[in-house]
Amino acid sequence: MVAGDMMRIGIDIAQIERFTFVFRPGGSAFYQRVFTVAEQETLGENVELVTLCFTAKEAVSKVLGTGLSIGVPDNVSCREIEILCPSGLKQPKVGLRGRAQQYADKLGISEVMLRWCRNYGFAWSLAGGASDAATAVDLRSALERSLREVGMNEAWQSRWRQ
Amino acid sequence: MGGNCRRSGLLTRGVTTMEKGVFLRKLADVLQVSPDEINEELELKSENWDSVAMLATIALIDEQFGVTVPTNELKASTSVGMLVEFLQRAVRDASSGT
Repeated sequence: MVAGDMMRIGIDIAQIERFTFVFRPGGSAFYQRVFTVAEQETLGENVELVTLCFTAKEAVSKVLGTGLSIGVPDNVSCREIEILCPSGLKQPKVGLRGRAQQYADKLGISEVMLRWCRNYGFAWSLAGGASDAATAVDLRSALERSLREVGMNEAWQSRWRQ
Repeated sequence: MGGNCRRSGLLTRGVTTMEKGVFLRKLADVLQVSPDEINEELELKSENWDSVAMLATIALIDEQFGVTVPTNELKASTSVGMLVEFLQRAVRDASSGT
């Protein structure tokens, strides 16, 4: 990095069992308001994916320094941070909209990246925001090293559909 | 509190007994307790009253009553009874426009 380059990191972890309520009657409102239609098409009724996607949103919100909300004016809404996997689950992509994008712009973040995994019944997400392409390369590498540190390897990923 | 809650509706009203029953049954799912276990004495502790539960409760209130409440106002509830009181105030205030 050189002076002026900037990176921000956010992490979140959640127990997968905690999210089983999402597929009960009391969880439907949460599912509909937290996840975008495009996300719901990917998630289906897969509780591991739901948990990962939620931790990803939380981690990205920490990069932005905002937290998540539902329907509160001036706060970043859960659906303004979209997590999609057009190239498979190994390579999740982050899309920002509305106030989430405004916060990123204010912070000078030009690229947001995400790495995630699940292990021992928990879902983990590490998100990073970088101000430029060179910093993004460093940050991506740091995120991947960090995931390995928490005990992840390729074995679990290979069990996931591509 | 009411100033931060919004509801689209014209009539000033509270929460009916039937609406409260529906809300509590769904809240049981969020808190991961059986419908038989949920009552107004049930404490909201860190084990069940986490950030996910609060967001899910906000979603329930929005779905059932059309009222938006901020997370920081839910945090003060330490029991289901307090949460129900908060809900009743939020619905009443939002529908009266206060």
